[in-house]
Amino acid sequence: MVREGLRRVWGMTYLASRWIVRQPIWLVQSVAVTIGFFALLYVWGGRAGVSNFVVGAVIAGMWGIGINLVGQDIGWYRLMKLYDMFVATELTPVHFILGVFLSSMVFEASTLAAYLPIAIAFGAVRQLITALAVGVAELTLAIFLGLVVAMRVSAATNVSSVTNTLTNILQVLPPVFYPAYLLPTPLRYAVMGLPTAAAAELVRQLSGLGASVPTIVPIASLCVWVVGAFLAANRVVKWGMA
Amino acid sequence: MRGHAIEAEGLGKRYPNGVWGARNVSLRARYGEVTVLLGPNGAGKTTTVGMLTTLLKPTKGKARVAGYDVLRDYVKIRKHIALCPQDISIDANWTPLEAVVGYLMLRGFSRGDAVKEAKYWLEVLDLWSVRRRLARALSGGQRKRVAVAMVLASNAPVLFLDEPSAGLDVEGRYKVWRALRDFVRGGRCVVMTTHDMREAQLIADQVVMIHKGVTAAAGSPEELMRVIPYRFKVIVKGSADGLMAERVVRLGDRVVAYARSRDEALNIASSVVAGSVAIDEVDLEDVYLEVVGSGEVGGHGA
Repeated sequence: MVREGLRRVWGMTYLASRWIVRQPIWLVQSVAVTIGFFALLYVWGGRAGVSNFVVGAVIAGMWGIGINLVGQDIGWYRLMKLYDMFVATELTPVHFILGVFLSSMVFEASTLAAYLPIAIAFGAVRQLITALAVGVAELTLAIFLGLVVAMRVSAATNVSSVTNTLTNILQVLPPVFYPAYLLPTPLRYAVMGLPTAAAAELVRQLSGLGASVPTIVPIASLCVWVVGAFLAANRVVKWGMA
Repeated sequence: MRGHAIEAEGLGKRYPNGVWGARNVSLRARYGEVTVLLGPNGAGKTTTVGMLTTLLKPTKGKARVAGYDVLRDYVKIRKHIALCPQDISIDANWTPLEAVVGYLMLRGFSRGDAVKEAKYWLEVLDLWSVRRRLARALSGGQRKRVAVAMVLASNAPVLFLDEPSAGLDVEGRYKVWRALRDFVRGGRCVVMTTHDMREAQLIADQVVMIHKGVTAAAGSPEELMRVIPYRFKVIVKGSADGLMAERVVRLGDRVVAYARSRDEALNIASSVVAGSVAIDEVDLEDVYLEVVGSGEVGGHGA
């Protein structure tokens, strides 16, 4: 039973990862952007800049993988009718999502390979470990939201335009690569309503990079987002019997 | 596997926009047979397949697939079926071998078994020589055959294919038909849709004619041919003046007159005053027109 379940997940991962295997240049782009951001933050912020870069890179990366890659992949499967083909099998939604997610982790692994030595060299290992831990919650809610977008956008070709916008805006606009305490006080609370800002704030507080708001605020925000995204995904994701 | 793989009674599906995709479809499909759902575009074939493959929840009626109720036991049904959807497009970055192996693994096959099955079915469908070529470099027909190979390789007891031969050339169609006939010989059931009457006549053990979401007729091609009392048709290109026939269908500037025997067909042909004449045996298309009452029908040609 367990072995068959693992095979199903692996089968999905295998199919979903073919495009990355065929076009590894995407990984080069991903690593290059990571190194570019590191250089930018180091030049302007020194060691503090690198610590904030590690926080931002992990949180933004998890967000991007969850909402963009998973959402887009599922959107494409719908468009190509492979989704229907997969539904009419023993595959469950959990196997399917896990398979697509694991295939996307190749990106996270490649960027991690780039910023792990950076974190070690600049003494930001604590930030890295904390970010990876908080990033799990971030990733979970991002996958749920990616599913919601992939299932709700009726024209599957338009999924990318929605997920790309959501990804980019929430990665670079709110305090993800920079700390929230640089913002005016009322705005600090307002931005905690954004999942990426809340996750980054939590990582900074837990890893000793300072606090902008009471710890309960980002925790509450993330909890509301995870539960809300789960409920929304549970409502819209149809695995057949539509 | 004996008896009926599918038993459906009065199946209907109403979409959220209020449109009925199927209104009253009843059918039975046996193991060891190819059952063809035949009908024009928009007849309700794809909706019917959707309900039987658990993609769509029926609004009315009842159905059992592989012995399980589609409403109650749809998860169990999925272990016994495979679906090749209409207009399926395999990923451009997959090779035929990867597509089949990946699909089988996500169905729980070990990699070794998956490769073995993939080899067999890719050979049957004449794709083994291109097994490592990316789908983007394959022809449209080859890509379609890869999708067919994926579901055939699953060895599912009940296989659904929605217009599997659409977009295939003659050679490709025959390869798919041959593969499907081989598949049912092992006691499995194939349900496929088409609007190609000739395809239905060639490959089906049983034909279910669907018209405007309703089962219009069902039976073997031979049984259905007995629905109409005619055996021959006289196709007249030109004027139908003077044409003496019991049943006549006008198709613009052409006229089709039906005859019960060859002699009667020859008589009709000789009654044609002007234009060219051809005599042919009736086929499922004629049965379909009779069953759905389509075409401008009259008698005596006047």
